[in-house]
Amino acid sequence: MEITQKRLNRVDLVHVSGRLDAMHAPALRNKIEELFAEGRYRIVLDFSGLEYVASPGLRVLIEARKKARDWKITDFEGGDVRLASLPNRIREVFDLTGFTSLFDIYADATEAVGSF
Amino acid sequence: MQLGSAMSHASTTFPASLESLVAISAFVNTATHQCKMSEREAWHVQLAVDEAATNIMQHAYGDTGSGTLAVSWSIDGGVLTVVLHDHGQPFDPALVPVPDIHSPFEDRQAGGLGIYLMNKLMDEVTYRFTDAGNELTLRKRFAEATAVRVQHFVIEGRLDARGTAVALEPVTAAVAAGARTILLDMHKVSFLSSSGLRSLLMIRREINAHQGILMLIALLPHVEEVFTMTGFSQVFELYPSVEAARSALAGRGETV
Repeated sequence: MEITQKRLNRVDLVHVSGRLDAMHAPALRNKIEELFAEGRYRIVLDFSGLEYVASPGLRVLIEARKKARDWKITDFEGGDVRLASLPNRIREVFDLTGFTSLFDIYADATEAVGSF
Repeated sequence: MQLGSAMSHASTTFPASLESLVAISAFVNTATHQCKMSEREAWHVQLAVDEAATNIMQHAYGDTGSGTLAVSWSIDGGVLTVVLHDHGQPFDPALVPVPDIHSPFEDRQAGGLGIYLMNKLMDEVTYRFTDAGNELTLRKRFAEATAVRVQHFVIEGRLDARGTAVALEPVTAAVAAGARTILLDMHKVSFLSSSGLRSLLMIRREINAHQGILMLIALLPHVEEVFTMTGFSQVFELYPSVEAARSALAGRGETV
């Protein structure tokens, strides 16, 4: 798995590629925790290069979004973890596990970043 | 039905640590490859085995340090069986509560998804604890990929008591060989009697029993009238053209 991060004005764009399995899920969790520690709670995960996701990866996503949403500027504005560019296989795992309705999912990273 | 008739098997032992996951996937890949599964089915098996293996690595051996995980697969009669064997603590995945995948985000629990996925992706998951340790068996039925693709037939002539069997013979043979998605172009069928209708119904029943799809295409007006009069226009999927049928298939996520 490879993680690259790009800091934008209001949002951090994190590109995750390869296998998000039990072995690699902790690396993504650490990266997100790192961003939270810097006070960065608006995150877009770009999954365009993601080949594989297993349940430990899904767990990281749900926990990350819960924490991000606890950070609020106003009642209407705050942190979130949003997703972009899900390949078909990843989309299928999301559908099977009910994750499709748990996250805001965008067609591409630009759209996801723009949604904040 | 002779699918995956070649009997084959293999087994290997891995260190029960997360570093082994990629190697286990590759090992299972040799099995799905031999089954000639579609890429999507093969990936379902990989994910299910990955979840099962992860679960064993994280729970069976706890803090005791290292253990081993033996994985074996066998193919017989159109069924792929994968068995995972470990010497850790007894752990029956059936006892893990099933997550409510419809609960709203705020109430959503993060755990239990691995076992849920494993059950969802395989046809059968069984666990038993023996003197020799934990044994988890995963099974998946498969159709060879060549049979999964859409098959397109142009039917010709009269579908009556005399002509039906011959006219539909290639279709019946394809279904018996495991074909699951079938388009029947009917524009050259000049006549349809009740025995023709009965044969079509039998083909439909066989395909439906395997979650397949049968589409009838371009019926001549007087043939379509037979379907309408008998109420069978609501039983069969009728399409005006091959293009219309294929785009309906694509809309359901089938490979066209």
